[in-house]
Amino acid sequence: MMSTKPTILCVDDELNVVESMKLNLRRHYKVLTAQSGMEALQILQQHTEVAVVVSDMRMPEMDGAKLLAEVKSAAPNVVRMLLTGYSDIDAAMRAVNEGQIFRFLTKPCEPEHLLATLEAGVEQHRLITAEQVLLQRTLLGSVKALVEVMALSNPMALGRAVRIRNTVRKLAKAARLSQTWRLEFAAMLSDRKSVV
Amino acid sequence: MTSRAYGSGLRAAFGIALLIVGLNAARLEHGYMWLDYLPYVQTDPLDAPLALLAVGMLMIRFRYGVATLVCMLAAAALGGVESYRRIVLDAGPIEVVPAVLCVAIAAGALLYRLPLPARLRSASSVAVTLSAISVGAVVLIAAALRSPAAPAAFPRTVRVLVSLVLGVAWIGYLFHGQRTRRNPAVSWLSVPAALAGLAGTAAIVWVLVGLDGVPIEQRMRWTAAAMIAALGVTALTVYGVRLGAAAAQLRRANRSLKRLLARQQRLMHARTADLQSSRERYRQLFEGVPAPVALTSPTGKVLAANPALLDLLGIESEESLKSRNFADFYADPGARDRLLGEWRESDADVHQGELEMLRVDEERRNVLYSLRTIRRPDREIEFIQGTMTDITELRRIEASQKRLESHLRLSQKLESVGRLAAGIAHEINTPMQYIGDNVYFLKQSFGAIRELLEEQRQILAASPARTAAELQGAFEDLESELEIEDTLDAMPGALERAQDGIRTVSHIVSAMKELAHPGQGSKVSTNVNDLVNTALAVTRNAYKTVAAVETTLGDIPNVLTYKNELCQVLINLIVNAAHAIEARRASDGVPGIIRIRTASRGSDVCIEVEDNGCGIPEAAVEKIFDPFFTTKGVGQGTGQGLAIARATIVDKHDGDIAVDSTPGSGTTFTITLPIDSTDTGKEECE
Repeated sequence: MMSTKPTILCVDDELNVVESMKLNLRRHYKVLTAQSGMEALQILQQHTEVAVVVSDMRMPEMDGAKLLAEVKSAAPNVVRMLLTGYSDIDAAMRAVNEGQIFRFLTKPCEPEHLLATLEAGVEQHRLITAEQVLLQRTLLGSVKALVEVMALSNPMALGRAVRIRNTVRKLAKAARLSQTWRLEFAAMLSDRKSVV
Repeated sequence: MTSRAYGSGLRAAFGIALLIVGLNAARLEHGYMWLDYLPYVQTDPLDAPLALLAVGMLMIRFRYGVATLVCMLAAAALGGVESYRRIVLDAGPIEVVPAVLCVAIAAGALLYRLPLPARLRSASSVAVTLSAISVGAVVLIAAALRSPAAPAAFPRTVRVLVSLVLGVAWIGYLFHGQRTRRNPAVSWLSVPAALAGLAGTAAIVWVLVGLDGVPIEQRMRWTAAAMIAALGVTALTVYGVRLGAAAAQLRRANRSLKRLLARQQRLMHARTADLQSSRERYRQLFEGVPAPVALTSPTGKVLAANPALLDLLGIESEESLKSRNFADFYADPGARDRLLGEWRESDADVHQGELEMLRVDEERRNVLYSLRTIRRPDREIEFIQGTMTDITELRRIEASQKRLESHLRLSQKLESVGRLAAGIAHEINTPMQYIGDNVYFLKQSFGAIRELLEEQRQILAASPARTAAELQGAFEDLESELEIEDTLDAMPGALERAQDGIRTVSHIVSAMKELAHPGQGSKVSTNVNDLVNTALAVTRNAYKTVAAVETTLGDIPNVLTYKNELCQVLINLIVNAAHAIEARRASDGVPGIIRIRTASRGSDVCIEVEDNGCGIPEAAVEKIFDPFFTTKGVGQGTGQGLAIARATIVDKHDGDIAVDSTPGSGTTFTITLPIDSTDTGKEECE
């Protein structure tokens, strides 16, 4: 259990806030902290294991809504939460719409409530990842079987399909598309008639 | 030569001539011819009065009035005595006449001096003098003719010449008296006088020249008769001439007076008409002018009032106003006497001011008065004439404007508080967040420590016989299980953060309290630097995401301010700066900075709020202090902030607020507050 503590990232321009949160959360989670949006994005790049991001709304340079929107595009699986003292309906709407956040919390937030919400967030993250694992394991498994059949029946077609897939993957990356597995899937089966 | 000097000269010449006549007349008595025996001068009793006469005549010339008088009196007296002597001695006409002549001349001159009516004096003087000269001349000539050497000494030609000279002198004298520059009209009327003179001359000529066969005494008698007649005519003519001249003058004067009168009458009619029309104009002006006008006396009597004043006071007729005392119409009954006292003391005659008047219907009206005091020479006020302007409506509008203004001020304050409230909530909620977190942690930690203690007690109670090493091992296991070391390490930090948070919250709350506190009634000694910090604390949420703040707070003395309102101004400026920076960052992303400086400059304290925001467009700079002017969108600003800032700084603090802005690169607001020299205390600065 100790070794599999989920990782969460707390973002607030006020050092006291993140330090204090860390104090209470560290027993249950591996807590990373950032004091600005840019720093948070960097940490996310380095730590792909982050399950939940909790961000403040009002921060210099990049505000919470913008950060969470960035997080959504950079690491869509990460669960996003907003913890803010700025009870502005506009800000909340923007955060929800742009960042598609999981929860909206207001300061001051009871540590028990935060912990419970984080637990739900981590669970959500687990569900998302589990779903993806399932997808990858079942769907990609059957695709693999198909591809193997193709390799047996038409090795030339397989070579072509692999080249197409590589190109598609590069293109998808360049276009910053998510869920490339669908495209890869389509690429591998692009020469379907040769399988049958 | 003036005619007067000319006349005096003539008189003097006659004086001298008479002197000679007198002297020679005396000598003829002794049978000597004056031309032949001049060196053998013999004195005669008549010489002295004659000489005095001559000197007196000369004195007339030189205007020694008293000397003339004395000479003449003496000549008359001496001549009188001599005449009497000769008459008593029966000396004969040749002896007597010169003496009488001398008396006559002196008397004539004295007569002139007597205080007689001018005309009588003049006529008698002329008559006596002329007769004296004439008779003297005749006597002289007769004496000459009677002498043994006469035919040889006086040939016919000499006699003719002498008679001509005498005639000319006669005429000249006649003319002399008549002709004056002042009255030239007399001169032509003197012709009859001249004719009479000519008649006299002819008589002299006749005596001297003609009728050689007639004895000399007879000739003399006739001549004397002729000359006396001529003199009478002359005197009458002179009188008539003068009378006529006077009458003519009177007539002329009368005519010109009549003309003058007619002209004056015409003028008067024109003037009267003018006066009437101007009076009418003035009456119309007085009654028609819409401003109330009154003429009153210091006692309060109304001497004149126009309909506008009656309207103002709500009175129907001027009579009923005049029957009352003007002071009754003053809302404050003592006001008029008080003002009168001031006017009396004042050097000025024109006074202006504001008053409250009371109408008959008890309604009060505010008026501006402008009046002039009319003073007697001793400066005491005699009348007061003045006009009033009803400003009741104006005052009412002003009052409602003032009310509106204070409402606006309040609403602006509420707006600004409301706008800040959300930000301040965040400012408070953030420290509340970590205070809660840390307290929670401390509570947990305390639970852990308590658990540790209880466990340790239980271990000790369960097996008291254990060795120290065993116990230590058991305790260490327990501690690591409860993560006591970490907890203990983290606790001081947590406590500090909690305290930090509480401090932050209190600071914000006290700043808010300061801001929300209702405005003090009076100025208090204020540390402006503290006020800047308060304003920054309250607005932190507005600027912290967009700009850094740099403060350069100088060593400045305390200033007397309406603290609360000045703080409001600073908040407005800081929030505006933040908005300007936000607007600029949206376009070019330059990092925002707000610089606040305080410094004392001469007798002022300066506060500068500088930002590097979007600046104010040139066209708007002029208008930023106008109420309701805003560059912000609908619903974002009411346009009151800077208008109230200016009202606060300029009207309430006697200071100044200036703006310097460059569109696209920033704005600096400079507030200047005068330091009250009497206030150097620092008691309010904490």
